[in-house]
Amino acid sequence: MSRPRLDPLLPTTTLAAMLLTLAAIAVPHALRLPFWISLLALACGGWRYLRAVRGESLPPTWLRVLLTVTVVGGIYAHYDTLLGLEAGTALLVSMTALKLLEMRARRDTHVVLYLGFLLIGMQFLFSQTLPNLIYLIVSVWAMLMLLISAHRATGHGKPWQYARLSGALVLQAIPVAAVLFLLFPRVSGPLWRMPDEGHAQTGLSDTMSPGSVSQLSQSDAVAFRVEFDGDIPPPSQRYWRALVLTHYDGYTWSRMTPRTPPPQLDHVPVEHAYDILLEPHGQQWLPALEMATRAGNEIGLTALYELRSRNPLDERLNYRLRSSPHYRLQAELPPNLRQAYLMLPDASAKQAKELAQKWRADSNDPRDILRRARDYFVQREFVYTLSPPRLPRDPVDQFLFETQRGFCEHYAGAFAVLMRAAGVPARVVTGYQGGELNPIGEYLIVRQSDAHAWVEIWMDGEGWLRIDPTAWVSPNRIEQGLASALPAGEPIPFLARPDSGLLKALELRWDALNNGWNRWVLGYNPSLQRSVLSRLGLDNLFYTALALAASIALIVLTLTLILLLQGRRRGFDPLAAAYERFCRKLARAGLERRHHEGPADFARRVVAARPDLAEPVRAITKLYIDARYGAATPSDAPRKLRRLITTFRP
Amino acid sequence: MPNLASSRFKLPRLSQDLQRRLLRGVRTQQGHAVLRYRRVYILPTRNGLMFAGLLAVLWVGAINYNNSLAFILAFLLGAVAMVSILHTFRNLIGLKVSAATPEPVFAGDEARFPILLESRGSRARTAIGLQYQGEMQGITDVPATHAQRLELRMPAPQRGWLSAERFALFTIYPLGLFKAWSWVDLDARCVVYPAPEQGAVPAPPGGAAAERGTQRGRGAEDFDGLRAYRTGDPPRHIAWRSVARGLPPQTKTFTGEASSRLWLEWRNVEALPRERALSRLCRWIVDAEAEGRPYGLRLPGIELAPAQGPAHYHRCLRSLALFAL
Repeated sequence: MSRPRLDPLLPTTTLAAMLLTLAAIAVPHALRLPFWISLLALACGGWRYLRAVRGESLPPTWLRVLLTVTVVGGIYAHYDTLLGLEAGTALLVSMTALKLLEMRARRDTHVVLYLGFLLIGMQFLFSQTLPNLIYLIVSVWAMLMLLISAHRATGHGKPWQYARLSGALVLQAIPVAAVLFLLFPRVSGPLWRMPDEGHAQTGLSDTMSPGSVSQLSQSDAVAFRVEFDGDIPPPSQRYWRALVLTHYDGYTWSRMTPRTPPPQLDHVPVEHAYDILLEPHGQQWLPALEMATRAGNEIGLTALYELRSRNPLDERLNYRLRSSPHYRLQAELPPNLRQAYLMLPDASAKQAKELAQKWRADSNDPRDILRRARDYFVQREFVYTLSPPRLPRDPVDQFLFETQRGFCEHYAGAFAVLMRAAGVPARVVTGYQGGELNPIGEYLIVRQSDAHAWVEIWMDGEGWLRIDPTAWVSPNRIEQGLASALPAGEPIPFLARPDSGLLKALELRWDALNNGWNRWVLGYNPSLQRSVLSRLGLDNLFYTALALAASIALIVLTLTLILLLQGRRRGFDPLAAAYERFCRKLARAGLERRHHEGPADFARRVVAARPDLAEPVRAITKLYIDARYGAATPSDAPRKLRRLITTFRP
Repeated sequence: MPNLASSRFKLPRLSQDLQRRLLRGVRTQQGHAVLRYRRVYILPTRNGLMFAGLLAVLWVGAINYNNSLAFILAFLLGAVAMVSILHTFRNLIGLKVSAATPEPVFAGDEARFPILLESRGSRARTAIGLQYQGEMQGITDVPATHAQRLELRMPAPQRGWLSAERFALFTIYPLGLFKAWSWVDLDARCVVYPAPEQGAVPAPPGGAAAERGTQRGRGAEDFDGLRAYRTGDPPRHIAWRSVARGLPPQTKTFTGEASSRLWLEWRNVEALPRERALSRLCRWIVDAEAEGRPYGLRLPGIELAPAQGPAHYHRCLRSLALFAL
């Protein structure tokens, strides 16, 4: 087997620039990939470089095949699949690295560079934050520089020239790209689905057990942002309802959605209209300000009056809602449902059940029972804390009668159990409460630290009523947010603190920028495109295509004019001007240079005709030819030539 | 030769004639021409098509994951490709092409037409290649307001005039995604001398003296005197000793020269087929010139008095090349 030779036209400097650029592009991936893949990629790059420096040939085919098979096997062993984002990235990175080992000639660099472009694109499947736009532009610029240097015939170009040309290409391309982004018809995805999507996102889960919400509250991450058309409701009304949990197993509350149509909602026609930009959380719930009255078609409404998306949310979602704070939900509750909302596991919360049954024995009126319950929470020494003691045995009884320290899920869970035990239909609702106003851009930021749990109880004729037992214990939680509600010394997420000074202000500004980015760039999906285009008067595909073609034609035409005129503007050429003068002098002497005559031929003719001029003519012609066609033009050549020609008298 | 993928770029297989009619080229007038935009064609290269495939992959991925940044990447790269068309195009148009007179060659050798590329504007031209019959023959960078030389190499199978055939000047710079090219028809032709007959050749009549002369050795001829050196005098007749003393170069003359003067005549080879006859004469001229003997040439209607030196040598060969065309 003959070993492939290295191409002398892939200089080691170009190779080094290429390896470094690819490495820089792969850094964000390397942080996610198993360590050995990054190591492999580095080893392949280093090996390839050493081979080039020493002028050795590349590894033989059998070795490359062996390596490839081993690596694919390793990836399969690590991920149990070759599909999906993570495994796909691992494959792409290692294949690019292995491709380096068979990159002989310049045309092989194309394949590697194209793989590099795919690596750049792959990065965005993991993160689409604003800094990634900078990553995109810088890496495209660097990659184009490599492409350009691969096409220099002689390899004599200077790096800054490539950098400039590459920069010019990117800058000139940006207007066209912007038009394409805006007008190129978008199709609704997804076309296929990968097995491991929707990984590791934070957000509420479908269940609630002691500790689950408090854990979420440790995170500063943004859950969603809300822009209101008009006034923003006061903090005490900012209950963002997400999930309704109906089933209690003694430890965990979970959802069981009856397959019935959504219940009747009556409301007064005072409404808030707002847009929510929800961060992806890998599930289907959609938060809504209590109580949503109207939603778009894509949004489903369950029997528990929750909003659900059709598919798990793997990308940011922008939706528009209307909500009314004054409502009546499900005034009629059928007996079988009522029964379901009273169910409790027999074995747990025995003490709580006794307490509730005592209340019920005193009065059958749900209002009285509610009052008794509130008094119970208010009068005893309940503490609202992010770090409650663990409740391994029977969380409700332990919490109510032993520790009395808990976070909102403890209060909501215990209260719901008490209500059910007392014969009042009850269910737990999880969602978010509060939200911080960003004065820049006038919108609310709701973070994971605003996660909350409360209870809805059902009363005849009034439907479901929101009861928030946490508010009895810690009214500040509802009015002023988590930080003010917690005792000093509790680990509060940094951005949930009310006054963090300059940093906080910067963070709000950054968030406003991100909000715009999320809303208008990342959220530019087929439906937003439709509404933007119809606002521009482009309400069918034909007009859109026409506008697209016309705008691109306009931009390209402008660019063409600029580029071509730039070339026409001839640089003043002192050599040509001097020589021109020489020819004019000779022409006056009756020796005109013919069109086809090169300087050398012309000089020969002049010397033949006027031997007396031989010396200056030869000198001038030689200087001119050397300066013009010689490998390097001495900088003083034009000056010398001018001097010779000035003294030349034919 | 740089191994650029583009050198394998093939045009649609049309007959030469049809190509000529469909694809207008640039014809040099009085030796030069400028590549104008109407004559410059542009098509994607193989790498360009691969790049389009890459864009399609990125675009489909962007749709599937509804990923705005992937859309931006795909659109930005698409726009870059679009803009690169302009740059590739601009790299070629306005380039001035001039033809210089090619050196004569013998039939069977390769004719080399010198081509001067001149960038007239303030822009440098990068990686301009010359392609003839699908083969890349050279590539060069032309600095702004400078000129660079390339050569068109064409086989010269038979004596006579060889006209430069259509070739392409092309560029794939800067990104290699598109290839811009222009057909160029040079109004240049190359004189092709007959191929000198190979192998053992009978000596020309009267050449025996020459043979005797060479057999006896150089020094045996009768030294006659010195005269001023003239361009083309055989080096072994130069009086090196006086040159070494710093005197102007002088050439020794020999009395034997007159008697060894050689007439190469058509009638001596008339019996052969014409081309072989010319080949034979050619060989005699080449040999005589190499020996430094004056020789004359007599062809029907042409008589070149005995002499020697490059000018005479080429005049003789040219007469043979253009004989009875």
